[in-house]
Amino acid sequence: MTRQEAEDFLFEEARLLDERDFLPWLDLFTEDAIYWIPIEEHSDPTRETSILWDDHQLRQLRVHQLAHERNFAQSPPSRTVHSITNVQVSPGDAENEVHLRCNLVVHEIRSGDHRQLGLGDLRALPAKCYYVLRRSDRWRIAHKKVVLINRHMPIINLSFLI
Amino acid sequence: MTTQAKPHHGYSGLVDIKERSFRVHSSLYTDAAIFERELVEIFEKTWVYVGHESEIAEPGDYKTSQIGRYPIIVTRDKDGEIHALLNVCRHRANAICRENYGNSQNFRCPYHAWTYRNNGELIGVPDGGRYPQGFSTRGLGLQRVAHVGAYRGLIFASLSEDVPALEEHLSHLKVHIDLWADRSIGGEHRVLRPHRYAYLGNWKFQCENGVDGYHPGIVHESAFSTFGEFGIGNFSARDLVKRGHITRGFPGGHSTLEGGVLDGRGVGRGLPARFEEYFARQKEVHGDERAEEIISNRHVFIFPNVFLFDELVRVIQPLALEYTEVYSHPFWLSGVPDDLNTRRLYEGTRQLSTTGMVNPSDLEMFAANQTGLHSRIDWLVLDRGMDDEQVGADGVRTGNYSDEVPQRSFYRHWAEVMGKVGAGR
Repeated sequence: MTRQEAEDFLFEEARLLDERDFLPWLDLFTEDAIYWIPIEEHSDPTRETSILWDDHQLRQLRVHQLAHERNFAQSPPSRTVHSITNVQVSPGDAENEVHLRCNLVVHEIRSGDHRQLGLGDLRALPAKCYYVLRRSDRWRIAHKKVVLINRHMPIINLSFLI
Repeated sequence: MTTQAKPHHGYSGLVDIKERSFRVHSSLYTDAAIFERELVEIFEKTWVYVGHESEIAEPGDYKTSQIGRYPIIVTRDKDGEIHALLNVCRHRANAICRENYGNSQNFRCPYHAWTYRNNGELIGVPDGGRYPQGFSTRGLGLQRVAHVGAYRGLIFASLSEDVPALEEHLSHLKVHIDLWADRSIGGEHRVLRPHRYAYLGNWKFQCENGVDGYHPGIVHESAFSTFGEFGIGNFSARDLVKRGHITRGFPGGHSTLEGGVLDGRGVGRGLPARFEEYFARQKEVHGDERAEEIISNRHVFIFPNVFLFDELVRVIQPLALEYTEVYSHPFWLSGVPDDLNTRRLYEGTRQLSTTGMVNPSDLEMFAANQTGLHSRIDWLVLDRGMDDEQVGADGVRTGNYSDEVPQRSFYRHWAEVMGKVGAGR
């Protein structure tokens, strides 16, 4: 996979998230993929605390809840812009896999009656991201790890997709 | 019409208790002077949860914490003894430890290198010869928090000398802490490193909400209906009331919200095979009746700042009138299969982290609550379930699952503590 192909893949994921087109986003992942936001970068998620640890079913649950009209943490919903830079491609552990590393900044705001507490705040969430992509009919995400730089800090409301 | 807080009458008038009504004044959440007094009169005068023994398991381990406005270090010395020390150099009052967790025998102030052993003793003052004759480092150790004690691994500390013994403070609640802790089999539990989140609202909202059985079916409808559609189990507050699940309020402001036995959800949902095995072992150890109580869903609130939940310990840290941090430590059982603990860990993350499907909606309510209170509306209503609230001879009150028994106990105690403030001045 060339860097340009990797960028095309990552930019397309970012577009789906920013346009809230979540069903095709779900379809970017393999069935056995884990989407993980750790607290300790090199921890064991089965024994240590995470900010998010989603398998196939949990990703579905999350997207299902995002569409629910009474999901109050997302009412009004988050608007996001995912910006991706510093993309690097390296060989994967198997012939049909590659590893991607990139930097990500998610800008997020919930507007609504922006004068109210908790609304109207434009936030930036910088992160290092690590992907394992696997090719079958096409490239899919077999593992996604988002390492937020403020992961040890108290964070307010991350009920949107990063 | 708005009513302003009148500190010169004491603050107890801000909790208005009648036979069939219980109102708290909005200034409890919006008055900066009240917030400052709460830190002094509540946090700096009673037992406050500061950590868990397992967070400082080894000699030399430490964690930093905060009681009211006081930064502290909780340490374990070379002999295994636990100390709670002010994280304040005796020379120029610098905070000497800047990390959250670590292991060190000594703490060296970054400013002039006054150095203290992890039991607080001052052991080094650079260029000490320049101090006047008779200058002594004795008596200049890190100041000790007046009391530190532990119950079932939970470490509490009090800045005030004048507090009852810890077990007396916990009193009737010990039974519930024991049930919670006895989910471990043949050993003590531990807690994992925290997941931290924050909200834009007063600290008391989180205290009220964690034992509020009225809101879940409403605030968390989107989560519960999603879980239901995916066959992960569902409940509504109404079902729970039918099954006779309860709230309890204790003297001292403590409380419980008890959801009863729901397919072992007190231990962790979605564990059919492992759960049966676990439940059978609990019955062997404790007998059928107690085993069932142990696995029941239970939220235990220990006044003023910690919740014991099925899958985590939740610590509330008030930092400003309208800004509160919460530290959520996964609760790891001993004597059970690892995959049971892992499932509990995942479930806690799924529900109650800041990305969780449940918790962020609560925090949204707190921000909305605080926004509404800016209107200086007068009195807030906590009457629910007053008609049939039961009061035992021991002062323990019980009500239905969705009743505001815990919140009333919280504010009864709040009024008692804060009522002394300024009264008669």
